[in-house]
Amino acid sequence: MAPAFSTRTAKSLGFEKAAKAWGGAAAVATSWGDLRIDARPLLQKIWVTFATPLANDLHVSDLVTLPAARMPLSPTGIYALAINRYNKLLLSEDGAGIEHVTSELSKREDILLGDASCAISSAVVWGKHAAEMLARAAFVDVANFADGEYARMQFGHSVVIVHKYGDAFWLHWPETLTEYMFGWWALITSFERD
Amino acid sequence: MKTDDRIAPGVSDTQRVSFVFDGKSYKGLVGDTLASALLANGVFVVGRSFKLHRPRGILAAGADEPNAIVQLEPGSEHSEPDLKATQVELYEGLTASSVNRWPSVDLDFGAALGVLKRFLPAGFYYKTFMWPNWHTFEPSIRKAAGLGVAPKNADPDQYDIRHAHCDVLVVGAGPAGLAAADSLSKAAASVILVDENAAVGSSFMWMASDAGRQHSLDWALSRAEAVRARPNVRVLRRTTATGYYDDNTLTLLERVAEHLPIALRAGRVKQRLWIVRATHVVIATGAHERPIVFGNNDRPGIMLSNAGATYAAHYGVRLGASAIGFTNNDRAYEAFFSTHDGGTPVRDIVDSRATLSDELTSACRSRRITLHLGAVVCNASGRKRVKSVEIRAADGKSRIVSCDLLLMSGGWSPAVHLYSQAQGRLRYDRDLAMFRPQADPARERCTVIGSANGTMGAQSAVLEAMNAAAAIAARLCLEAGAEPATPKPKDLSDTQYRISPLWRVEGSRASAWVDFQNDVTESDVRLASRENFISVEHLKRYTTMGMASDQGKTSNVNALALLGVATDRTPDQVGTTRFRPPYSPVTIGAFGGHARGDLFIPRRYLAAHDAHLRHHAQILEYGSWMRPAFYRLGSETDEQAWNREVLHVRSKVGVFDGSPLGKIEVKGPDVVALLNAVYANELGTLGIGRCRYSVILNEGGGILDDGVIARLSQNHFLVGTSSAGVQRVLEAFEYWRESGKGFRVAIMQASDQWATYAITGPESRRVMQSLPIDIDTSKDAFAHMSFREGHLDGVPCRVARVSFSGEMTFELSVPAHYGRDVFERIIAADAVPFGIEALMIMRTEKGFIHVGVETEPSTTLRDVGMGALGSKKVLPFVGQRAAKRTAMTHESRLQLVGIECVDRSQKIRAGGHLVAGPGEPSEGHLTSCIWSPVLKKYVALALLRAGASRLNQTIKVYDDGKFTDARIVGTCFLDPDGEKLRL
Repeated sequence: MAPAFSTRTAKSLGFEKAAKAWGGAAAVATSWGDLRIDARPLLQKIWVTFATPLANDLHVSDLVTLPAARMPLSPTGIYALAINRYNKLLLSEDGAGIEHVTSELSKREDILLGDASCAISSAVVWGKHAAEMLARAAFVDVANFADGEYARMQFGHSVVIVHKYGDAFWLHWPETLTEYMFGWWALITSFERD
Repeated sequence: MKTDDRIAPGVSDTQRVSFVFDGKSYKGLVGDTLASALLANGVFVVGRSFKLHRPRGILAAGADEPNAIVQLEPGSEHSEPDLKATQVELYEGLTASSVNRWPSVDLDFGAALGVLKRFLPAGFYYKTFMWPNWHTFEPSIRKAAGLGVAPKNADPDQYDIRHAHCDVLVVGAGPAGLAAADSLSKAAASVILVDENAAVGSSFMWMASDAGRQHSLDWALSRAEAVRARPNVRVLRRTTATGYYDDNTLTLLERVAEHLPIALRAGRVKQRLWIVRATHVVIATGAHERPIVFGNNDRPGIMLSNAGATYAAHYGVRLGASAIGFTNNDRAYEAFFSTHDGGTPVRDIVDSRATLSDELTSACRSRRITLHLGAVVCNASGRKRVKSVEIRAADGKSRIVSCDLLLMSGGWSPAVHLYSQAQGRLRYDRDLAMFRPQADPARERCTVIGSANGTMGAQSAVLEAMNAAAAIAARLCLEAGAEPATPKPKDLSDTQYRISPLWRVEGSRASAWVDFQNDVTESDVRLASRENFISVEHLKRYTTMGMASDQGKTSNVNALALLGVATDRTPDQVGTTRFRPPYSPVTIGAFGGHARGDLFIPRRYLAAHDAHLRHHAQILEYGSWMRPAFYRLGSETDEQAWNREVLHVRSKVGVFDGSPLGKIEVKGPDVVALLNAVYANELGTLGIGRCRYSVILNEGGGILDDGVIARLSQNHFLVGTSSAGVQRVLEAFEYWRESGKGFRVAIMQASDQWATYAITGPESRRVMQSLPIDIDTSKDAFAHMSFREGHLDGVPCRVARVSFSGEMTFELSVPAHYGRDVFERIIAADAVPFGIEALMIMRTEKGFIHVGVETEPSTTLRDVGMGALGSKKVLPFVGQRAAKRTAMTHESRLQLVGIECVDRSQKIRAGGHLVAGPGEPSEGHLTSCIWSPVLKKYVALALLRAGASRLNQTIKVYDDGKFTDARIVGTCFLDPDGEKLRL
């Protein structure tokens, strides 16, 4: 059984390049230069919630048998975002191999693992003007983000997470807001840059 | 003077533009404001006053302008009301009109009100229109009031919102602001520098004369160039800081494309609202010049001295042939001299002070300007342009002097709006006759410099700015540190600011205006004080002084000082009104930003949205979800469609997309303790693999939400909520986990992860068994209120035997990305899709409550006939104690009942009131009402006073003037024993 992604969402607001990007990268034309949006609908995501808040000095890697260097930014692309007073993490991976992490965590009675892959959509935005585009899209000002820094914004009833990873910005949002997100970007990138 | 003769730094002498004002065509220059272009074309009457329709001219040159209010692009889709001509930049093809006049600004019939002026004092509305009541007169008065016309059509322009962070936000690019931005950016701070003008160096537009001004401009331009070139600086021109909010958050309104011809605006943002968080804010917003209150001081051709100098020196406008200056302070002389040197000869200067410095006296003499010391201008004449003024000398003798321009300066008021909004306190400086920031810091991290701080000389302001920058850099621990304040900007002028307060000129019977925009006179202020409106806040509201689009920038200090004179108090004893944001008007479009049309609010789509459309779903918005209301076949009406769906589900099988139903996973050692603490029913006894209908209450004992809870393992539950209630239930869980007894539970919202399809009807088991699922769905293996996990064609799935329709139902959930495919498979297995309308009919037939429809926040379990659910529980839970209060258990409360018509052919509707008869009070209302295609009659649920004890009685339903006889019955109309659920 094949998953069905919401390509309708991007097309309906005319963001055709982004619609194509729902399976891969797409460039945005006009004055936004080399801006790229690479949608990652298949990115695997796991919510990890802890029954008790983690102490500030307790790294998630202490809870799982992983080398510290692999968290939060691991060579295999697994990263963890502390979302809610350090008791809610989003593990994400741009490839295979997250199972061994979840199998370690699932042994804990006070940890709840939830597959968020279908509930949360993701995209990577990069290019010289990526920060400006995101700032204009009414996200927080990401221009001065350090590598690994993230921010969240309330978005209706949901949370959109912006995360800097290398030179790119990763975005995670509720899948059902996809049409809204692409519509927003279509509008923003239709403006001439400053 | 002809437009194309002008040579000045503010305008291009080669680029001409055409524009239209009040139907007449004119020429201007690129760089002009509408105000400067009108003055250059000899147009002095640009509007009519708000109340008395007096002819008004241009008073100021910026945001403080009270008179020159125009409607831009009238009649077009881009029409915008109430703009200040002093801030509208000229572009090719600009069209504007004056406001508040009929038929024209030159001939306005409304001016007849001037005859009645003595009968129209402050507060006359309150006193006059009392009988029979205010509302009799209100429509006509409101129609006559107002300045511009709000456009009726949707705004076609694009607006933008942008967020930014910086180390230092510098507001104002005058001498002080430029110097601060320069020093701080050199110290590697990230700086945002904003100025509301198109060009930097605002006050240099008029300060200093001759070579001094040119040097000042050169200094400003070179600093601006250096600042702009640094990568750590963002310079925003045409940008007004409109508000200062908590945690150093400021809003900035950038006018991005308003200066461009409309044809060139396509693809551009018209305005952008910036939301800036700054570690430190430097307020260098300058000061506003005050008018002098004397008889007929509102005549066209009377303007503030700095405005006259700006138009003359910066825009090269020759304002007249014979000007007079009138002041009480030294700083005005710079403006007089700039005006004079700019080509508008100043013949006389009237100074209310008895002495003047030798330097200024000499400067006047060299320009052949006659000085009148110790004298005042007490009256002006000339209806549409000042023709002469009455000068009263120190010896009391008066004489009439002809002129065509009067420049006045009653002193300066620092623009402390942002500082005040930052919770900064003001003090009255008697020497400078101004309210200025106190020495102690504001609650927010900000520094006020330049004339906004009462530092009136340019050179002093620059030195103050550089010192402030050094202190800020040290506070921010910037590595390089700001450059010390050693180099003096030698070419900047620094005239000492001396002033002798002159709050009013006595001796004229003519009206003397305090607030030009609201037609408030000095006599109005005295009248208010006589009637005991002696608080400045009361004065403002009684006289309307300081309201409207200029927010009293030129009038507030004069008014409060005059109130002080009238009540024998000093200005500091009177105090100021609050400086509330916005500093200048902000369009609603800018606040809205992108949130319009399809982007107004996020719409949430079901995973199987496309499949629903293929099956002819009629999609409506329920909450934020776009969901099928019903599926139309052929030419069915709406009613035919949902009645068909109901009958099919009741007799065969249908499928309903219930994906938005809330799903919260809760796991941990204390999960039972938490659920028992927040739910009204016992959940510790729930077996693994079983479900239980549960209700959560608010602290007041009212029903918060309901749903089915399944137990997945010993310490793992799946909590079902209503579609709209998931957020409030989640918040309740989070709240009680954090603030309760330290429950060790993990909580996760999983609603979006799962697409849920309710396969409903007597044949639902057949559909389930036709799917490739590894769960035994036979009657013995999978009873009603059970829960199973398994796989559907290899994909994880969850199935619950629960029902909201009264029919046997299998709620099948799969990961959302597989939803569309699974929905199509269910349809292919002969299930008919049904929508929310059919579901609502079926649940009403069964008497199932819909939280928020059958309940209000104070509706208890007992009220809806579920009192036993909570009463059996021994353990304490949220709302338990409150629900036991007498008021919550009284027999006269609104209680849920069923209602059916005595005559089954009669129609009733939800919302109808239950009454004993005509003229009797309402005893309740219908909460839900449906036509039951199964029962062939209308049935309803209702909240009725003492309803539980009134079963089988008759009552009347009152709706839209009609009374219908009805019978009070139980809430369940169909299958009361639930046999169909347990097939």
